[in-house]
Amino acid sequence: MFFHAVLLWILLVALTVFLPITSSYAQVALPSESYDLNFSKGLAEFSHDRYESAEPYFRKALEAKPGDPEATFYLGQTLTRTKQYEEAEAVFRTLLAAEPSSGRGHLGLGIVLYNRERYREALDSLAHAEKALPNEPLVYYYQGLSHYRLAEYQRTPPRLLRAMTLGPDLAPSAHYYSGLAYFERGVLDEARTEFEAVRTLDPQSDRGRVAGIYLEQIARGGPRKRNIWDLALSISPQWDDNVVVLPRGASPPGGATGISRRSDYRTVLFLRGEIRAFEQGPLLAGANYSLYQSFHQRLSGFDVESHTPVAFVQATTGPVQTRLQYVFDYIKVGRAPYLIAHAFAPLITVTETPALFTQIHLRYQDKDYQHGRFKSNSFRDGHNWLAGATQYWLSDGKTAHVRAGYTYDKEITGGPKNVSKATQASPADWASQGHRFLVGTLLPPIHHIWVDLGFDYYLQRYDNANSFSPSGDVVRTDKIYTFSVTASRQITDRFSLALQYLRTQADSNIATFAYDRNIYAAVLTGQF
Amino acid sequence: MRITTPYKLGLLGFVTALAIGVPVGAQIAKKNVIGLFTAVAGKVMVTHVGQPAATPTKLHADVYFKDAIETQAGARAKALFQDDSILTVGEKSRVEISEHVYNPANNQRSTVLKLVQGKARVLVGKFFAGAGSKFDVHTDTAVAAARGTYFVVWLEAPAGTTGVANIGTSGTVGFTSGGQTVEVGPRTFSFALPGAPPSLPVTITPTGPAGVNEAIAGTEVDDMPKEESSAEVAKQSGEGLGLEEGQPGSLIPPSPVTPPGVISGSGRGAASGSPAGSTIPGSPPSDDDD
Repeated sequence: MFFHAVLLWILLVALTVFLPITSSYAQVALPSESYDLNFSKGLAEFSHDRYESAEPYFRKALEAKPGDPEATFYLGQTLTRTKQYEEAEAVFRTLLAAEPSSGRGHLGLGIVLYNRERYREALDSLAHAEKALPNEPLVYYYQGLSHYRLAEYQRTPPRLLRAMTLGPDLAPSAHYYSGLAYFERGVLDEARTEFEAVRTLDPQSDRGRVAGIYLEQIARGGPRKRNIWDLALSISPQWDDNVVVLPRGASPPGGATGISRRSDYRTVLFLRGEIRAFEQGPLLAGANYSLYQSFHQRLSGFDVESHTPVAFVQATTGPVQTRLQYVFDYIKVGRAPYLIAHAFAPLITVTETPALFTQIHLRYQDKDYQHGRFKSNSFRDGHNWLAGATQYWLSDGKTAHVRAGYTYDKEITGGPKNVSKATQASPADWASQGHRFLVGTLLPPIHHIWVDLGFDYYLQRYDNANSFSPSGDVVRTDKIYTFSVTASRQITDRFSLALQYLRTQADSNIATFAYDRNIYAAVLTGQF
Repeated sequence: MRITTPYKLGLLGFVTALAIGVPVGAQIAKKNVIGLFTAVAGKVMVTHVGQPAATPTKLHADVYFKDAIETQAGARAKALFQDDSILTVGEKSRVEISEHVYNPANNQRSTVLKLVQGKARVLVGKFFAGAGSKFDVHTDTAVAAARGTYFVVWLEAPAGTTGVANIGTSGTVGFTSGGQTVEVGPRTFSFALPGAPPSLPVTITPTGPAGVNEAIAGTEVDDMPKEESSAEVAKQSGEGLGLEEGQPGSLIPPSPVTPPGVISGSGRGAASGSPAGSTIPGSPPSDDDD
């Protein structure tokens, strides 16, 4: 025992005094068990694609070792993969503040900025990454995508080519986006080559399927070029069993002047032209003009002539497309001025998933009714506020959808409340609030025929006693049910034919506003 | 060759047994998984119980109860166990998992590792208060019993001296040799010759014995993420571009033919070809009429 103790003592002295200190550990601090444990667990979760679980471990690792570049980097990666881009950006910027030349930091930041749709900044960051990581395919891949997003189509394919050269597994998507860039430029031979490569490399995927669609378009002589203008013309013979004046959706004027309770044939001409004067990446601005003209066979006093110029600006930010529109209406009924209206009508489209999107409708409209064919029409002058949303569910392949929506609108007219008296019309007759519920579906095409079914319920509660009621003290309520069915088919590249049926049943507690109506129509449309 | 009936029956029985036995065996094996390798550098061999020979292991491979992990020159491995403990095996080392009971419901964990050769680092991440809970590393002549800490155990040739260094910031390691136990506190180390009691713990310093620092440095292994292809990274990190069918940049799918609404009073309906497809097909019945 004594011998062992002496031997151990000698050993320790020898180790301490004589052995050179060669360990690299001599230069470093002892490890932190909290950091090591949490980083290991975080990375294990990360490696199994369990990013939500990984995040708290990386955060704890950073608490144990603040500023640690490994934990910072993987936290940034984790946040990127869970689409927490704002936080991810902050984390990568922290990493780069500590290590300004970190290639992976710049790449991570570039990817985050790309996902935040700050493409120009993404390209700046990726340029730094390129200097540090010249052989990293993802640097060139995200450069290519950023150029594509910026509509810099000429600069897209070279970056993607480099990406797939360095990272062959990126080839299917790199070919695909190169194809899109060539397609956008109208360089169809190259686009064809790229899409064919996608079809060869990835035939079973959605990407391969869409590449096939582009190839078909190219084979048909090229893409439907997105001109800066387009024009649509329609002619429509219609039979209406109860002709009603309803331009721009307002309730018809009371009495036989607005609701004929007579049937008639009419021909409708429709023209719409649009010019997109500015289009750069996600931004679009332009104007359009629509003309609607109906000619009744007998009831010419019900002919409508409507002119609607519109100016719009549209921006797309990720899944959100916002369109701001100014709409002017000048409408004549029976050749006489009927309505002049100005509206500001934003339309916001949010794509939640590839199969789900929402349209949010907003509108403020100023209405100036004209005395013309209708006596006291200007009592209806006022403002209309509208807000609503429609949800769409798209089928696989997006050939069909189901929709449901709701809108609320409030019509504000001048004049004090409850002043209407029997036979003495006033602005108070027309102030109202409306609730519209709609459902509908577009069915998958059968033999290239598209069928759309729609049902719409509009509950319109007026604010005041109505002068059209026999005693002048009934507050008007309308319940309007509308059912429509449309079958349409493309006849040629430019012309289509549709058959439509529409039934309206307007129930009102004031008989003069109640009516039923059926319309049968054929519509020939040309698009240019 | 003519196949006889008994032979056929035998073959059928064998195939049936194989069909039943393989999944059951796989299930049993899966049940014995106690962790996974989070780092594998160089050639690391693992012998699973019931296997005749060691096979090379790889990153994120499972660790099974009774595995023996052996590293070759320049190799290192790190394993994360389900009980939140981490084992790192230095080069030219062999560690056997002799015992592993993990029962979180009863707050119990009992693990015994045997260091046969080389050096190993253990991080005992969780404290278990259940009866019989322990985390021990045995060598032929000594036992290091962790009491919630982070420590390194190594064997020094040729005398077979066992070293223990507590590199944690809290907790102790009960170091037993020659019938005596010393508590090795945070940031200290101790040695024990075979059959002799451990030395009194001494603070770890950069100028301390090279063997201590080499054992610590030699069990330092960075965790490794899984290998991902560029395409996988891009897919996970977000490409932001959908399959832009028919009309690049469009949010809305291509429209079928949409005629002007029968009841259109103005400007609606036929405009399905409006910019970037912002008008969807089959718009709800218009509020316009005549």
